[in-house]
Amino acid sequence: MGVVALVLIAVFVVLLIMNVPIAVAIALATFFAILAEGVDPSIMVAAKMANGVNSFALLAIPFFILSGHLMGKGGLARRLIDFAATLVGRLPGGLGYVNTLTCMLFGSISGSAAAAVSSVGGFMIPEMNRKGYGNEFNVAVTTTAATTGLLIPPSNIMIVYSVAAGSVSIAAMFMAGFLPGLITGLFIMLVGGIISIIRGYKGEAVEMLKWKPAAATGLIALMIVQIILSTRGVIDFGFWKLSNGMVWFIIWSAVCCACFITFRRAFLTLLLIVIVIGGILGGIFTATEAAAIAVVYSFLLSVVVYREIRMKDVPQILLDTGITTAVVMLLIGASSGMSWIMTMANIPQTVSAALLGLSENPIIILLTINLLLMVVGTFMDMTPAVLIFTPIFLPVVTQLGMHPVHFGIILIANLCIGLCTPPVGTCLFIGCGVGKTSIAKVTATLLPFFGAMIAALMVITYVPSTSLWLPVKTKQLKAEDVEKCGFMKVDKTEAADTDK
Amino acid sequence: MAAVLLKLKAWMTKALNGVLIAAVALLVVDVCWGVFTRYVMGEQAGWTEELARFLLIWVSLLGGAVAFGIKGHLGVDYFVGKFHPEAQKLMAAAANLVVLFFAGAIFVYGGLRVVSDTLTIGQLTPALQWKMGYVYLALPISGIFMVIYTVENLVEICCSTEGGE
Repeated sequence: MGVVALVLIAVFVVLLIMNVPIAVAIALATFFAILAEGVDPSIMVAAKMANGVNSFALLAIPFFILSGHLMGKGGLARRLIDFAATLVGRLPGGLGYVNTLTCMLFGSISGSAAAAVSSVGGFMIPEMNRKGYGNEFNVAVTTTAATTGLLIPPSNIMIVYSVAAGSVSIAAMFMAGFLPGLITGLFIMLVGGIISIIRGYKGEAVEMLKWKPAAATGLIALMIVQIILSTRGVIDFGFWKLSNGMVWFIIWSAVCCACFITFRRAFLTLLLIVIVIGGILGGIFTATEAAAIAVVYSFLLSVVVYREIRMKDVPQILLDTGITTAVVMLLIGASSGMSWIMTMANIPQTVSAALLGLSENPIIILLTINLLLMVVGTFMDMTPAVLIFTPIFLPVVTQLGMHPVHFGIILIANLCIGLCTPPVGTCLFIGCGVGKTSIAKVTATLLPFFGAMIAALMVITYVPSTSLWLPVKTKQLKAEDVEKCGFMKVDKTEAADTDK
Repeated sequence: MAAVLLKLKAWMTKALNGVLIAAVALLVVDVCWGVFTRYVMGEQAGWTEELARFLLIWVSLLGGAVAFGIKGHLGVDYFVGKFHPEAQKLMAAAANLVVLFFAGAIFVYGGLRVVSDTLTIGQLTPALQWKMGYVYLALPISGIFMVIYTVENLVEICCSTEGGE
C-alpha cells in the first residue's frame, strides 16, 4: 500500500478514536493524503465540500426529513397504531405484530428509525406493559422493527447510497427495498409471535368501523388513483381494454374498497406513500420533486387538516430540518473528496484483491463483507458507513456479478442491525430510554430478534431476486441488465455444465 | 465584556438560524414552483433547479456551522468514553482544535481561494447567469462561523476544567 493510502487510513482512524466529528475526520484524512502527494490540498478539499452537495438528487433528503418531522409531530404514530390494530391486533401476541407493523409504516413515512422508536415506542411500550407483555420484549420488538422502515421506501439512506455508488437510480433503489423490508419485518413478527405464544401474550379485539360512507369515499378516491396510474402506464390494470377489462376493474375496485374500510383512519397518512411512490413510478415527478410534494402534503395534513402542529411551531421544524440536513450533507461533501482520493490510491483495488485472494467462492466473500460491515455497524452510524464503504466494496461485488442495487439493499439491511447492537446503537439507546430499562437487561431478549434480522439479511444477500424482481417489474431496471448479473447464478450454469 | 460577547453570540445564532429557516422554506417553494410550471405552464422554468442546488449548498454549509455550535455532528464516542474523565476533557479539547484546523484550513483559507479562483475565471451559472464564485462564498462564510463556535466550545471546556479543580 502506498504512502497516500497509509496517511489516509491512519489520520482517519486516529481522528475517529478522538471522537472528532466523522465529517471532519474524513475531510482531514483526505486533506493530509493529498498533502502526502505533494499537492496543496486546501482548495481541492474545499471545492469538493461544496460541489459534493451541488446535486438536485440530494435535495430529496432535506425534503423527506422535513415531511418526516411534520408527519411525526402530527400524531402519525397513533393513527398508524389504530390501523395496524384493526389488521393484526386480535391475533395471539397481537400487540407485538401491531408494534412491528406500525414501526414499518412509521419508518417508511418518516424515514427515520430513531423517530420510529421514540414515537411508536412511546405509545406502544407502555400500552404493551399494561397488557402484561414483558418490558424487555417490547423494547426489543420496537428497536428492531423500527429499522425496517429504512428499507421500505421512501428512504433517505437509499438516496445517500445511490449518490455514493454513482450511477444507481433512486427509483430503482426504492422499489428494491420493498420486499427486503417486508421480509425483515415478517421475520421479526415470526420471532415475536413464537415468543408471545410461549409466554402466552394475548391479542386485543378492536371495534368495527362504519363502513358505508367509508366505502363510497374509498371507491372514488382509489378509482382516481387507478386511472392516473393506468394512463401513465405504470401498472396495466387492463380496464382500458374493454374486452376483459371489466372483470379486472370490479375485482380491483372491490379490493381497494375493502382496503379503504380498514385503512380509513390512516388513509390520508398512508396516501403519502402512494403519492410519492406512484408519482415517481409514473414518471410524474423525480424523487426530489416527489419529496417536495410530500412536504406540501404533510404540511397541509398536519397543520390544516389534523391541526396537530401550530404555525408557530413550523420555524423550529424548519430549523431542525436544516441542521439534520447539514449533518448528512457535510458527510456527503467530505466523502466525495475521500472516494476520489481512495480511487487515486487504488484502495478499492487493493481491498478487492485481498478479498478475492481469500476465496474464489462468492458466498464466502459476501459472508466476509457482511461480517465486516456488521462489525463496522456496531460502532459507526449508518450514513457515514454507507458513504465510506460503498466505494470500497462496490467494485468488489460488481466483479462477482452483483447488481449495484442489490448490493445497496444488502448494505442497508446489514447496517440496520448495527443500529440496535451495543456498544453504539442509536435505536437501542432510544428504545432503552423509552422503555426505562438498560442495555444489559434487554440484550438477552434481543438475541432472537438479531437472529431474525441476520436470517433476513442472508435471504436478501443470497436470493438476488428479493431485491431485483420488483424494480424490473415496475420497469425501474432493465430486465437485460439484471440478467447480465451473474451473482448466485454461476452455480446453476456450472452445475448444468457438469451434468452434461 | 463577556456579557457583550455572549449577547453578540446569541444574536449571531439567531440570525444564522433565521437564514437557515428561510432557506429551507425557500427550497420547498422553489422545487414546487418547478413542478407547477412544468405541469401548468407547460414548460419548466430553467432556473428553479439551479437555484435549488445553490440553496442546498448554503443550507448544508451554514447548517453545518450551526451543528458545530450545538455539537450535533456524528462522531464515534465509544473509545473516548473508555478514558479517565480528565483525559476525556483533554481529548475533547484536542478534538475541538482539530475542528478549528479543519474550519480554518479548508473552509476559510481553501474556501476563499476557491472563491477568488472562480471569480478570476469568471464562470457564470448557466440559467441564472450568476457568478459561480459568489455561490462558493458559502464556504468561507460558514467557515468563519465554524471557527467562532469551535472557539466557544474550547473556552467552555477550559472553563469547566478550572471549575472542577
